[in-house]
Order: sequence, then C-alpha cells, then structure tokens
Amino acid sequence: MRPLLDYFVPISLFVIACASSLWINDYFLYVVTIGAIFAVLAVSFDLLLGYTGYLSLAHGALYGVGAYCCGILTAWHGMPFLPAMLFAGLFTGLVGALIALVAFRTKGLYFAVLTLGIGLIGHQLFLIAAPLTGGIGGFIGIPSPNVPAWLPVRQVVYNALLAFALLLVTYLVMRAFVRSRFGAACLAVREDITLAQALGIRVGWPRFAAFALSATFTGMAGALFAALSNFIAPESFTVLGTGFELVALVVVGGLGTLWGPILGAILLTALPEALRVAATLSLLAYGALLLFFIIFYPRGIASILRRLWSRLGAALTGKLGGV
Amino acid sequence: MEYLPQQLMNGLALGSTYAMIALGLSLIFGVLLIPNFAHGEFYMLGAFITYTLTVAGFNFWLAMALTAIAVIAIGFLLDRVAFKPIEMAPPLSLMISALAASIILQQVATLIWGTEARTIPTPLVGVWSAPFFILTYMQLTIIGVLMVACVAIWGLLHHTALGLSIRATAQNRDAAMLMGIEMLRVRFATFAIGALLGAVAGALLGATFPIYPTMGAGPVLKAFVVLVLGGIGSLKGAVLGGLVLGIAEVLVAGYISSEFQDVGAFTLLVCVLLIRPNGLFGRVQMER
Repeated sequence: MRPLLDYFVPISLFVIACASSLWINDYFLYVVTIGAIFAVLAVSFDLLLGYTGYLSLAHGALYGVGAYCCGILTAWHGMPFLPAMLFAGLFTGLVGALIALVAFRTKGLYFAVLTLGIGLIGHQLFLIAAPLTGGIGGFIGIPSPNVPAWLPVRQVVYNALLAFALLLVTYLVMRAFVRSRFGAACLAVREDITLAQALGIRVGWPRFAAFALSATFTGMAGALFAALSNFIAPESFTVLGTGFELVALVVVGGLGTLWGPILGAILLTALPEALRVAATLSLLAYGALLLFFIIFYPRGIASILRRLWSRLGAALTGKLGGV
Repeated sequence: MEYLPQQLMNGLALGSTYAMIALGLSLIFGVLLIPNFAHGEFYMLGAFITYTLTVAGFNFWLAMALTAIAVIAIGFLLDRVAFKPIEMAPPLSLMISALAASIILQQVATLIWGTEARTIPTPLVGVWSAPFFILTYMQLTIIGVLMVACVAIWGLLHHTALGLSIRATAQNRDAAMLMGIEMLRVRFATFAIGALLGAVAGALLGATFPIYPTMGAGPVLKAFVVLVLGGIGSLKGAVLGGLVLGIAEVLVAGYISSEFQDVGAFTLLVCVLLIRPNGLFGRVQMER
C-alpha cells in the first residue's frame, strides 16, 4: 500500500499541475514556472543543508555554471535543449564534485566560509570571462526549448511542463537517495560525525555523493532557467542573492524534509511576484521570515504542518475512542 | 618596481580597515562563538550614519563619535534579537540567523538611503610626503586609529576586570559562568567593541571611498578570510592577517590586474584551507 501511495501523491500532483497549466494566464504561468525551478534548487540544496548538515554558499555559482553551460551549448553549438540540460547538469555535477573534494576537508564555519569564497570566485569569473559569458552585459540569445511537434501546446505552457517534470524527477531521485544507505549515512554525518565514524560508517562517499548530486540538479535548474529567460547575467548568480535565497527557502519550508523546501520555494517565489512587491522589500521579507523561522520554528513550515496533522489525527481518534 | 614603497603604504592603509573589521569579528567569534556575518553591516551603518550626520551639518569627528554610539546600540539590539534567543542552538542556526540579520540590515539601509553611491566629505585634506612614498592625512589617520585600537583593546583585555572575564569566557564559557562571571556584561562588552571598531572603520573609509548599502559584504567576507588566515580567535592574527591581505590585494591590483583583486583574496583563502583545513595558525577547531 505504502509504495503505491508514495508514487501516487507526487505523480498526481504533477498531473494536476500540468493540467492546470493549460488554463491559467501567461504571466501567472511564468511565475509558477520560476517557482518550480526554485523548488528544484531548494530540494537539491536541502539534500546538503537539511540531510547532511553542511551550509554551502557556493550553490548560487553552481546554478550559474549550469545556466552558462546550457547557453553556450544551445546558442553557439545548436544543441537541442534536453541533451544540453543533461550535459549542463553533468558538467555542474563534475564542478560540484571538484568543490566537494576541496570543501569536505573542512567543516562547520570553515566549510561555510570556504564555499562562500568559492561562490564569490565563481561570480567574479562570470564577470571576468567575458568571451565565454558576455561579462557584465550578460549572455543574450539563448533559444527557448523547442516544443515537440506531437505536443500541441504554446511555448510558455511547454516551459512550465518542463519545469514541473524536472521538479518531479528531482523529487523522486532525491527521495531514492535519502532512503538509500547513502542517505542514512548522510543523516549520521549530520547528527554526529565523530560517532558515525566510530560506528564504522564511511562518511566520505555519502557526503561527497550528496554534494555532487545536489550540484547536478542545481545545474539542470540553471539550464532550464537560462533557456526560458533567453538571457542570463552574473547578477542572477550571486552569493548574497540566489545563494542566500536558497537558505531562506529551505529553512522556511522545512529543513530535512523533501516536500518542505518545495512548499517554501512556491510560497517565497510566487507570493512576492503575485503581490508585485519591489525587489528590496521581498529580500527584506526573506530575511525577516528566515530570522523568524530559525528562532521560533527551526524546522520550518513542514514542522508546523506535521504538528497540526498529528493533532488533527489525535482529535479524530479521541472522538472515535469516546464513541 | 619604483613605486613599490608607495604600493606597500597604500596596502597598509587598506589593510588597516580590514584589520579593524577582522578584530571585531574575531573577538565576537572567539568569545561568543557567533559567526557574525552581519558584522559588515556595522561597517556599512558606520559609514551611512556618519554621512547623514555630516550632511546635517555636524563636524566629522563629532559625527563619528555619535555614530559609534548609535552602532553600538544597534549591535546590542542585533545580539538581543538574532543571537541571544538561540544561544543553545547548533552552530548552523547561528550562522543562518547571522545571514538573515545581515540581509535585513542591508535592505533596511537600502530603503532609507537608496542604492546610489555617496561620499562623505573628507575632513582632512593634504598629504604627507616621505622620501619614497606619499600618504594622505586620511590614510595616516586610518593607520593611526588601528594602532590606538590595538593598544586599547590589549589594555582592556589584559589589565581590567572586564577584560579578565571576557578572556575567561573565551576559554571556557561554562566554567566562567560557574565562577560567577556575568554573561550579559561580557556579551554586551564584546558586541560593543566589535560594533565600535566596525563603525569607526566604516566612517573613516567612507571619507575616502564611495559608500553604498551593500558595501559591507566585501569587507566582512575578507575579514572572514583574515580570520581563517590568522587563526580564529587570535587577535594578533586578525591584525597581521588584515595587513597582509590589504598589501597583497594592492600588489595584485597594481602588478597583475585590478579585475583579479578580489579573486586573488578568495583564491588565497581556498588555498590556505586546502593545505590547512583549520587555518594557518589554527588550533583544533572550536566546537560546542
């Protein structure tokens, strides 16, 4: 029963999202698409922050690596979008693996500061390597994903479908990882790395795999972002912009759950867009929400919902017991 | 190579501001174990409040003193709101909380002052010409203030009762509390010193360079680099590290390319952590 339900819920949500994308207006659809991309980012980021306990501030730059990689492949070499996205993901995964090799020599604050340094170098390189990236002026003319002939939908709808599909795949892959031996080892690393090592759990490979996998999907999200905005510039990939937003999405949504960050991403990216708040105010709101949640509800919205759910369950069984 | 002495002096002046920020950061981390990412905002607020007061007609030095008091109050508030409530939480929460506080202060400053760059009118004009180099009076002041700050902090830490309790807390917080040291006083004093150093550095640098609401991000990250270079919790390391970083940056900008100035600093960081994961002079990593 449980495995059936496990796939039933995410897939039916995916189908509902796809079906409803045919009906809502273009602007709102664009907002939802961006929300889905950020959800992919948040889920990948949570694999590291929530399950493994490492705060990486290099993910803004990794997102950029995927985006530029896709831009170069599709705009200059005429590669179709889907293989370009896969390739961008693999390449970003490789870059992530290299970073992981360096970064996991450290832990705690040193890890955060080191990845922060790497994130800043990445952002600076996007600016400096102007022949490849267009420098501060940005990379223009990235083609949109081609709508296949058998699918009679418009471009915006196809973009949204791609984003939903990527989110579904990300969720399922991450869930498989979390439930595997590697996922269990990652949790052990998060809880007490010394104890885990003392118990004979190999901590090196699992956390390395978690970082590489997280980077791979971050890269794919970047590729999709590049293809549907047709234009990318270094300011989308800063440490204190995207890098910080990811922390906010994951903590507000719920550290250490996979559905919490999706919820956080949809709430935090779609709401400011839908309410049309200025960028400064939305970043301020992110900061305030993040501070509020880390102090009062460090496990995010997910923990609140869980508590409500179990209270509801208790109330129901209590009533039934009374009868 | 003729202008090497000049480059060195410029680096020394730039490094002095890094050292001042790193000193405060190192103190707060060493004593309270708070990775205060919001430290750069002390620096930014120091510059902007001084700017506002000078524009309103105050004398620069008076404005700087008033600013220092205001920033100390903000530092106290920051500690109260963002760090004190989660004193016992894991280090990761403190880090995230500091990040959040930093973004909030930055955005509030953007709302108040806007994003355009401004400059504080320089209170001291003129230069001092030595045989091989020239220093502006402002640069001299910055170097001088760092020296005074070092002596003052050393005196405070080693020759007062408050300093003794701060050092005791840094060594072992639980034992210090058992000995009856008042933690609130230590917290307040540590944050006050950090905020004061940050505010003064901001005001002084703001009189030489343009100021803008995100100006704190660069220096605080470099201060973390310095912290790692000099060894976390070591004040001597913070000062020396700051000066070395400043000089290295000016040399990279002067002899290679100014584009690589920041990349150089962070590459240095990555290399050091690659070779010594706990910093150059790192002791065993501090953990709760």
